[in-house]
Amino acid sequence: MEELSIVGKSFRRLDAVDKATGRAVYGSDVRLPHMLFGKILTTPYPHAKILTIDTKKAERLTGVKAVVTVQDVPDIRWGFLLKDQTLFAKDKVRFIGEAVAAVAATDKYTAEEALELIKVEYEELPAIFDPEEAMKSDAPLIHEAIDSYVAIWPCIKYGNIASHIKIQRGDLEKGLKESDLVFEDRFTTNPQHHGYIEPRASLANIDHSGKVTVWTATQAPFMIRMELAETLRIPMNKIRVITNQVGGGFGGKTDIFLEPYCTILAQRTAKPVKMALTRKEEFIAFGLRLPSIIEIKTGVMKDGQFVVRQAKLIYDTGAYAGVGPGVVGLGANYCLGPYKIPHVRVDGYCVYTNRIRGWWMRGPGAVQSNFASESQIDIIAEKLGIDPLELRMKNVTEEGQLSVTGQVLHSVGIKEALTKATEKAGWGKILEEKQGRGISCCQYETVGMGASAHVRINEDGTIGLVIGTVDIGGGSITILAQILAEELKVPLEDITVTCGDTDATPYDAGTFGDRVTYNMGNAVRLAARDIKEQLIQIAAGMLEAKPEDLEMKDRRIYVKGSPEKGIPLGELAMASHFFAGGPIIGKGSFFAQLPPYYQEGVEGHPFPSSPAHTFASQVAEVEVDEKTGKVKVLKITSAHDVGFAINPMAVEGQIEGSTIIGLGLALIEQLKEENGKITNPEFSDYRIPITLDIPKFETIIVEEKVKDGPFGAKGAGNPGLTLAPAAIANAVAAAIGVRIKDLPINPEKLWRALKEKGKE
Amino acid sequence: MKHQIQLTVNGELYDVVVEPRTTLVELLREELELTGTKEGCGSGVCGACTVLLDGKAIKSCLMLAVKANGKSVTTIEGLAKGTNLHPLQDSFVEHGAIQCGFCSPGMILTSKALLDENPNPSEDEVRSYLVGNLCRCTGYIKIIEAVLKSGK
Repeated sequence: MEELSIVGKSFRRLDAVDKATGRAVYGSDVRLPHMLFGKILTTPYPHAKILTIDTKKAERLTGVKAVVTVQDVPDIRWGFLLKDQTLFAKDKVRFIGEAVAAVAATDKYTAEEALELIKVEYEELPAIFDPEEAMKSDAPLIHEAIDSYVAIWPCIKYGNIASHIKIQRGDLEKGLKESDLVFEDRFTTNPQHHGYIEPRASLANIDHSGKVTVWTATQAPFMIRMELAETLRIPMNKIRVITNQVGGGFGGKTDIFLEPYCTILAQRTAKPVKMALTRKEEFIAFGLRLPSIIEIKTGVMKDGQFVVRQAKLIYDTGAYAGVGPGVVGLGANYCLGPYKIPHVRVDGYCVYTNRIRGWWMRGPGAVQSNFASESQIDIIAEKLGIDPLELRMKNVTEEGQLSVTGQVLHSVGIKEALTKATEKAGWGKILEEKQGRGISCCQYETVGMGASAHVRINEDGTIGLVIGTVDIGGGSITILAQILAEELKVPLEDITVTCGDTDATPYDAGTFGDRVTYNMGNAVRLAARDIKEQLIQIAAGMLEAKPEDLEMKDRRIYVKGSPEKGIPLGELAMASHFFAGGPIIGKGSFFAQLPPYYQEGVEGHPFPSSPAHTFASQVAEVEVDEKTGKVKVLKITSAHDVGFAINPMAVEGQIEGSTIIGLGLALIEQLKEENGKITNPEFSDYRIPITLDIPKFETIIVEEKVKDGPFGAKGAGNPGLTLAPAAIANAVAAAIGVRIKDLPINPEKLWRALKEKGKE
Repeated sequence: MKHQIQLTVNGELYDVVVEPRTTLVELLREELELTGTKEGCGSGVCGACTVLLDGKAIKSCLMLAVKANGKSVTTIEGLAKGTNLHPLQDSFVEHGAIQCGFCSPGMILTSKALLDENPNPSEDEVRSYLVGNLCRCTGYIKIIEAVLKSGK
């Protein structure tokens, strides 16, 4: 095995100094001369027919340059998975916060004033806020034309159910009969605001040929380009999307939101138009994590062996389901946890209500179903009198076993993760009163989709990596540069990365789903090998040697064993630019074929298989104050199988950050809604974790290499969040014998539960 | 009615004309084009807008520009000396305390205010001091480490 000198090391991130000095440019930092400011008018009604919209007064306000509504945009429904949404509400509004009009004015105050002058007449309709109500056959329809909606996979939809996902493996009835005990539990989870500190911002400019350039804070510039083309009917070669730095995404900046409004207004006014959401608008107008109701039925043998699991997942996707079905699909994939269970039946429902639309949010779908599954495992452990660690160890899945959809699992590091996490956490050691430990395990996945990279060599031998990827904070750019440097055996500082420009950089689907290291890492490796081969060929000619006798290292290509007989890389580039051959370009293109799965047993599922699975285990240690119901998380010990850590410090950062968002979901973050209205849309009232909330942290990186990942790497960012709520709930139950099955576990719920239990 | 004010920012004296409703963060970002200071919530909770006013960490989205008349402001752009990073900046970079980076300017400046007051804080003191700076990416763990190890 060759020695690795760059991957596997915690190099400083390439963009960190710019961020530390204020040089880094984010969405709202981009400005152009004469730019206008745009704002969106949102509706105050959860479900209502739009009767009239009168924009005349707004248009006449001094400083207002354009006002647009639904009639000013093509009549198109869009959505990444299910195309059910329009840019402006059409015929009726379906949630408080839905966009009804947009204005562009000389300054933001005038734009705000203009919004108040737009008169919209509504006729209210009965609204539904409870997904179980929405599922009833006599419920008023939220999307009457649901049958006509296009989906990009075979979607089962009817009534207010945007998507019904069915998974069946083995024989449910047989499994239930065989089981010694059957457990049935119901769990509910809360919505969650993404909470990225940067509210989104976009700026669109049109040139005289009609070419649109959009600078925007997004995780996926190519997704933005595609969706702009789709919704505004602009050819893709007339759209350029540029992303500099992004102040956090977590799934909330994957698709269009402000970009189409900026573009339309820029087209109308022939001026650049900038829009930025306020924090309040980020809460009420964009989208949140889907809240859920999960009913889990598990049959086990007396000795703890899992036999059968039936799960009913009801996820409330709110008014629109552009990505909701994907969230439910992932929830279905991970409602079994990383265990061997022969008989499985899952029904996942993505349900419309008149609440704010649901969106991707880190650990989408999985954190909800993991909370249910892992909580129930502890309930089972308690009833059977088996240690929760032992119960899990007895049932963990392994290499060659099947996923819930019947995909054969490869690179399965769960046993190691569970062992290491619990050992490090001191599982079994005595704690003080009112303290408890809880375990959570999860299986997660690395999403696929297209990835590509170009590599160039400059006349002085330094190297350019050109990629469409955006680094939203995970360290992607640095990791990919490290992979390239390792492949070409050059120092990391020789590499400059150009990224995030749909005109200048080759396609990458985007930074989400833990996919960049695996997919783009492979594309970069392919590009590296491509350029290396070409360089060696040229050097072979120049050195009059055979290619197989040459070696590339330390910025030179030389004859193996005779390093003095070689050529600097720069000379090769110089020669190819000025003397013969032509510029050398390395290219790599990668698409992870989705592995086969048990097709007969899976229906309506958008993501039934995945190129690589990750596994992780977490132990939370808590202390509960029974007088106040407050939970203090003392320590979290985490072991994550990431395949291979290209940059260990970046991987740790992902695990830590992800876990703390999970802690927020579990204990702190509480959205308040009244009849579809969010009543705490500010950080002052919707608390997210602060420095005083964080526990002691131990992170262990487990490396169960995946055979076709770059150096064996998989993904890292999502599992931390996925694990935390169950680990904490289990720890609380262990501490005080009270189990909360409804997130968040807040002081009031605990206090009431304790009171009921007869304690003080 | 606009007001003429004078303030020093990162050592340079500026004469500007502002509206009464203009906040200090708006003045810095729009008028003076110092976009290193960020606005994350507009209501003084997230701390992304933190600057040093006469050495003290304040939330610039909560201060009206007119109130900064005659004052001295330090923004993130004023910390490094040319290409020489302030020890805190270097420590943040070294210890992986910067992910998306949006909270970093505010976080670094608040940390500087802490270390200027108390050069050897305990971990608890660092946590308490940074309570008004939100971060969604890092979970704070490496940020606290970076502050504790700054300059060491």
